[in-house]
Amino acid sequence: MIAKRERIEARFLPEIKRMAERAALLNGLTLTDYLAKLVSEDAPKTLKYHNELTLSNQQFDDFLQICEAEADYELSDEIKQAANRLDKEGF
Amino acid sequence: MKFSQKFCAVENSKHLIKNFDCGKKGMNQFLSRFAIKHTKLGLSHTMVLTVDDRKDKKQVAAYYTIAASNVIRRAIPTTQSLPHYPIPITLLARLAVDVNFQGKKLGEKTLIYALRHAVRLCDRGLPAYGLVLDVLDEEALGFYKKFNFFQPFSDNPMRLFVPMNVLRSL
Repeated sequence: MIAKRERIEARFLPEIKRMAERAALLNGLTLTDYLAKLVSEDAPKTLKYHNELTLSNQQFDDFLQICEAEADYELSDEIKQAANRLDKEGF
Repeated sequence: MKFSQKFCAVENSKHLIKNFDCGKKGMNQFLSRFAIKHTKLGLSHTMVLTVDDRKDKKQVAAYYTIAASNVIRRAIPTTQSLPHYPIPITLLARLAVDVNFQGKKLGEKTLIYALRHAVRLCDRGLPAYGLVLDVLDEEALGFYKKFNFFQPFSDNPMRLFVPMNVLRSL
């Protein structure tokens, strides 16, 4: 069974379009399959990059430690002042 | 000038997103071109504070964008072989005030509002160990630093961090 296809409309500069057509042919692909291949290769990387902040081992451990050590981390006077100002004055 | 007292989700039909000018092109462009698309695709959520007038389309005075993200421990082989899971966090990706309304403490009020929003999201079931701030430039860094509150998140100076359990008392 062939999955239902959806249409993408896009406008390209002529030189980009020619280049894509040639590269697709050289890969033995239709233009559609070639563009699909490019997206399948790049999109997961991009999505992952935007959904993850990577830390080194040391940084990661420091980060977790700060998250869990509640006692020695409190609101600063400056942030309290800002919160009070919003509560009193509104926007 | 009066403002509405709550931020609301950005909408093309209600907000003059193209008129917003915070003095930083990238921040203006994000609001005018990408914020609504991001919201539709669930990539991030942008909230706007508007000028309180009777017009159908209201002027945006300030906005902020939050997103869910994960902190990953870089996969470097070490002697210990404990499993490491991604740690969910909330990201305050953007915060901007229109130039016409700067100098009225709107930036810091927006920040407080956004921090409290992050706590509410956490309480409603979007898990987050903390909030990471993406800092645009030196000017923004100066703004965040003056609160004497945010921790460095990594060796990237343009990322700051505050644990969720600390934000709860805000």
